[in-house]
Amino acid sequence: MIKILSPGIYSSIQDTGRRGFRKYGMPLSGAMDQYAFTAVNYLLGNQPNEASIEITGQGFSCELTEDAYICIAGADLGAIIENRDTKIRIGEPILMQKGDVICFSKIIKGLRTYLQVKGGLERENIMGSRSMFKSERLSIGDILRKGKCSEGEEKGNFNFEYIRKDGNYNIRVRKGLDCELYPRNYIKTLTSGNYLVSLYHDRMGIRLKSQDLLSTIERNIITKPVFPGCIQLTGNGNPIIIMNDGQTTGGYPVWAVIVKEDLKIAGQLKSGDKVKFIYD
Amino acid sequence: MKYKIFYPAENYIMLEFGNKISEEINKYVIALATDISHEAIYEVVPAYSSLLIEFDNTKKSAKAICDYIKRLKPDISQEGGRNFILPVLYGGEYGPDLRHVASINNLTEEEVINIHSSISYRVYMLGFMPGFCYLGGMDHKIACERKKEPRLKIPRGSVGIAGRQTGVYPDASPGGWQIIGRTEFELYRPKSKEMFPIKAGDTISFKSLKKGDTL
Repeated sequence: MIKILSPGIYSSIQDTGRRGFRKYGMPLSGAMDQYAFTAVNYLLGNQPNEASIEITGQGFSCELTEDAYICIAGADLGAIIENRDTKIRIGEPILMQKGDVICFSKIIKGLRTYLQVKGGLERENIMGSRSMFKSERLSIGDILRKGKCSEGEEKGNFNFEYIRKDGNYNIRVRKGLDCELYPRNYIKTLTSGNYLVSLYHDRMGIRLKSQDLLSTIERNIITKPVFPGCIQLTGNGNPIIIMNDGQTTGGYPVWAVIVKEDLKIAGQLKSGDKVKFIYD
Repeated sequence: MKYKIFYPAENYIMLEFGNKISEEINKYVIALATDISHEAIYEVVPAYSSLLIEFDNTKKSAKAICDYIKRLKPDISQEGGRNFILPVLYGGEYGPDLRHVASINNLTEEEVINIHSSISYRVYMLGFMPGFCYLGGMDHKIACERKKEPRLKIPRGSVGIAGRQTGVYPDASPGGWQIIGRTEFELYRPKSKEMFPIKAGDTISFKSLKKGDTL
């Protein structure tokens, strides 16, 4: 069992997401970095979609109340076993002993990391997913029971180099659905621009700030479906990347969409990071 | 019906039926969405005049999915959504903005209630938050701009007007809609078997409860 001593900035349980209910306005939810999420399960030999703890930033700590193999994958948030003064290496399963306390002390690179136990975690399945949504989050004193998931294929060799210490990212995009509404040069300028991740970013979306002086062109569209990775253009010219807990439909034009493979980078963006987009 | 096909991401296909709100187009979108059933398609999200499809691109190519979609011949003559009657207590503490909506349109509160509750509204789509229905057909005589300062908390079941739209808040939320009443009808029932009773293609009408009635 895992006892939450501190949830840090924000932590929740996530899996591959909730499908089949977006037509009713239910967000997809699920891990913001699906690559790291899947990796942590493969590394432990769990089923690849076993729900795991998603830790955001620093401050998370928990206590193991029984021996268990655990693993972390994703951002480097300075994880240590506090009572043994030992670092926990990312992507390497480790046997924890009853009474061990894990602490994520500081952001070294990236923003989100996944903490998983061999066997997975017990959690109610709602609408086909065990992902927490909206106001749900882990809090002090929460107890998570070790699951009994069947053994999956064990894989190693995951590379987390896409998470950069310097916070400079290139993200590949495809043309958005509403490009046609704008002059071609405008889209070109938008795409080649430099962006800074603002203070406003969470599991719903990431607001970027343009570092260039861009004129704004307003266009109205009829509300239509959006999904994680869609980059909307708001009235003031600053883009918003729709993420996992975001609305299922949106009324702002979508000028670019992040390619599936690079969506994991968006899940690691934090305030102050620099982003450049590249056409795929 | 004609549509444009977009490939916004490796695992998504978007069909666009034109940038306008029309009942005919929307009926087709919903009928097509209902007909789609394919092992490699995770889910579909219909909207006013577009349809999003998420599929497993490791199983099937986007082209194979498109070929499948093109073979479907949805029958829109069959469409018969259900009608839901939502009892509403208008005005007073439940509808603090009813007076404002009336005065801005040179109507009495009674007239606003009569107009609002005399129409059968089509549910074009759901979105924005779980269970929220985008309704069409509101009378422009009771249109009213959103509040300049959004309220921090609008209670669940609040019936509101924003511009030329009307809608019901499925859950408590911050928001700028002009609130004219409240219903106890639950659009989102997380604990029930039928979590979302109302679907795109259904219709909603509002029934004014009398003074003295309680929710």
